[in-house]
Amino acid sequence: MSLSRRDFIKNTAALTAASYIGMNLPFVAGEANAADVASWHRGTCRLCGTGCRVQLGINSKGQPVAMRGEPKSRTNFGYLCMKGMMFYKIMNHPDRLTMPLYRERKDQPFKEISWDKALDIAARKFAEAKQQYGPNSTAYYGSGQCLTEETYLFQKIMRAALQTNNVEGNPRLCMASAVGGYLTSFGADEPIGSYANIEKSSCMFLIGSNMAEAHPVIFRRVMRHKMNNKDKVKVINADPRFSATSRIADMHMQFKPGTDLAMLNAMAYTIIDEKLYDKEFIADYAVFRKGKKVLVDMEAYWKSLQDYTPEKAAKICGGNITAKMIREAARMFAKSDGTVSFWCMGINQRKRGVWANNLIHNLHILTGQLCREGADSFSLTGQPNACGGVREGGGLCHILPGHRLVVKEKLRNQVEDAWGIPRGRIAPKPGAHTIKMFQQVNSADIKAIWINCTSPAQSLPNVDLYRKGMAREDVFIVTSDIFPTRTTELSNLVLPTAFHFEKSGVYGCTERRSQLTPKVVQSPGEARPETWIATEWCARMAKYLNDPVVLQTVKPFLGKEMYVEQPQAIWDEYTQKLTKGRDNDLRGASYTVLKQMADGVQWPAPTEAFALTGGTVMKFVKGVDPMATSMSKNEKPFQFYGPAHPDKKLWIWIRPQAGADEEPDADWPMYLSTGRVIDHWHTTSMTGRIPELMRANPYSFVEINPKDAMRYGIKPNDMVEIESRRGKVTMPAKVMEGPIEGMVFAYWHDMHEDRMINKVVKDSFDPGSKEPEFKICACRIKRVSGPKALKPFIVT
Amino acid sequence: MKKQVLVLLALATLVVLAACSSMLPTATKAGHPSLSEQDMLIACSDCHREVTPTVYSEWYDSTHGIGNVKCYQCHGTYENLQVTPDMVQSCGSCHTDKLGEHTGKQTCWECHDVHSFLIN
Repeated sequence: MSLSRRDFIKNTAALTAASYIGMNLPFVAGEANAADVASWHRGTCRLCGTGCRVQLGINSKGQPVAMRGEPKSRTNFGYLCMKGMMFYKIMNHPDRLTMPLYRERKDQPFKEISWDKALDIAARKFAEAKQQYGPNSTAYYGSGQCLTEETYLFQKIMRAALQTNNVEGNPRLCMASAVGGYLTSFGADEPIGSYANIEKSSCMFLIGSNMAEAHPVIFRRVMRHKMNNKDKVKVINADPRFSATSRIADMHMQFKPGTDLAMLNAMAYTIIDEKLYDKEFIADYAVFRKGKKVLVDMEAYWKSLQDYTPEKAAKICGGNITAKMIREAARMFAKSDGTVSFWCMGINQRKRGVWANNLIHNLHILTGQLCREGADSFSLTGQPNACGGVREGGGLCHILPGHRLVVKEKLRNQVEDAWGIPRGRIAPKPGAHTIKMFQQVNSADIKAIWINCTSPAQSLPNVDLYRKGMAREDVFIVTSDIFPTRTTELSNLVLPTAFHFEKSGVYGCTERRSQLTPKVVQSPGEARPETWIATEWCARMAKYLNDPVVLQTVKPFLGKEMYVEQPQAIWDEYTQKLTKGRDNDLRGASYTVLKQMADGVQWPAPTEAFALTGGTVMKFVKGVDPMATSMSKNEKPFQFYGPAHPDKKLWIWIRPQAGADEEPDADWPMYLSTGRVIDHWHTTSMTGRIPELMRANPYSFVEINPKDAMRYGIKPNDMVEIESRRGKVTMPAKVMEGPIEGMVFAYWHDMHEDRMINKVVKDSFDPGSKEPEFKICACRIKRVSGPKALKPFIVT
Repeated sequence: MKKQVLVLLALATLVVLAACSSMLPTATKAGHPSLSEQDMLIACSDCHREVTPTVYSEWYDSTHGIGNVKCYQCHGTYENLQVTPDMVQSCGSCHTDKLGEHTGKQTCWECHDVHSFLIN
């Protein structure tokens, strides 16, 4: 199905020479292969949620020159993907932001200013907004790529100093539904088990995830386990798209987008129908629920599944789904000695993402495929610190550090006491979730917003709508980052930040493991750690607001050495005071302990001795999880002590099939889905500046099924317009047996105006989790032209 | 007439020579045929699937192929191309623990055939 090189060159030869006169490639090619490593330094990879441990090689001049995996890490065992191998190459990139930049109006050019002036401007603007328009006219939008110390500190300042809960982060766009699913099904956020369950499993159910490209090093473990046990280990891949992950699958379940809830319910039907459920496990540990307050029984649950017999579900799902396939999958799942499910954005970025999560958890609870080796319901986290920083550290509008809900007064008081601030200081209601936050930027109800380490001007769904708001002159935007992005383009104040390995801090990965990365390289120019920036900003705000509580917020950290002492003090406050006794107890994971370890500590880890062993490999199991022992209510081996379930039970949910918010119709007949490629991370602001990675995927393509391509007269590399009710983009086509017929799949990493697919995507969201439905909307496509000589593009 | 034929022959030879030299790729310093900037934006595997099909299919079916360890991870890109990779820098990025005791004085590929990586 690929275009031959001869054909491609024939098509583009005439354009080649003319197009490339004077073109500036966004990367620095030709740097010498560095072999002069003087020392190696252990840390965590800067990219995805896997949490690979790496070693950064420094030369005698203190420059980063090489990267390799850490062989002793229990996460990656020394393996890296190409992004992990190469991200050190951007540290000395000429595009690095090195000075604070400011412009009063967004239509003016930026001017370099001093840190003193920059912090003063930021302090004055936020203080003025609070005084004139109230605390909720200020906001913070952070990232699952910030260190835990950074997220924790910023949310502390927003809540304690500015008195707003307008604290959000880009994990709202990827993991909120997984959080919602874990809380409503298990009573506690984050996976029960660890990656170690892979090697003990007999069946792996990969749904809504292209693990091979999005979590390559975890996929390596899955692939290896399958290859070592070809007949014994079964892999089921469920995805409307045939992807790189599907290569190792024994069964590929290809259903119409949005019909997977019916399919999962039909698997549950089979499990009950054929008596494959674990009666004892259900009796001991589970209850059935229909609504938040409605308890039902197995009878009612079974009745609700009558709409989802395998035959009925197969009709709903279409694609290659048959009743036989559903039954086979359910039997494999239920009967295996250990089943692990993995999923990611295909399940989370949905109108009913929480429900989809619940239905996967249902299968595990019904069959007792939990709490033992090789059995787990394992949500893959996208970003390196969505778990550690945002989900655990209080980085969303409705949660406080230590898995506490804003709405619970008792828990607010605990946080206020820990912070030494008056009770009643933290606002009692949640702030604006991400989409609401940017709607409030659009209406200028938010007057001052701080955006840290993320680029919503590219990554939000229906993005042009929100770029309009961000461009408003009456909304003051501070962006702190390492490179220019689509978001710095819409900012008033741009602050240069220290990169990974240029500052110390902790990342908490998918498997609840907190790992430390030290400072070993000096930042370029005047780039500074975010913890220093935030501390200084808050101290200046204290003067403008004339409020002693504002200063109190950062007093413990003021004046401390900015690369190690300051982040360490923040980490200590967070772990020792805010996680004490919580289900993510991290008191044992001090910097001292973390520095000694090849990898890191899985919580709960209340003591240093336990933390040094690696921490809790499996939650809720007595003898393995110290809190299962200390919180034990009875003699049973599993204790589901999670804070969200007062009854300490697992909840099996009745959830109906619910499709996408915007299904195809006569005018917009195709499904549009979007996703990632292995060579690029998110918005390409980092990976696009590395020649090897940029050349591997220089622009976004749209994958089109061969039947659809024939129907629309589209050949490989033809330019195709993808249009929705919201906007249109034009991308080159990849004609392949990837997406199911009737669906196109566009890569979202490209920041070129013509190829930013988020212009086309819909911003509807799950009513429970508020996570947007990036994965499904309706579009139409048409062939625009033959192949064009495209240029890769990065904001510089 | 003879002069005209000779001139024509000379011209023809020049044309043929010119055509030949424009078709023959000039090699880069590192050993890859010279490509335009546009050509260099095609993924390695897209061309090599046609140009070196055996290497491609060996790689595609190997653990590297299934695991998406791509050409440029071992061989670099055009400006830093290594047809034969530096073992420590490339293999050693992921297989650090195999360098030394396991490899001894040999290269990885003396035992692990490229590009299938099966033990020979």
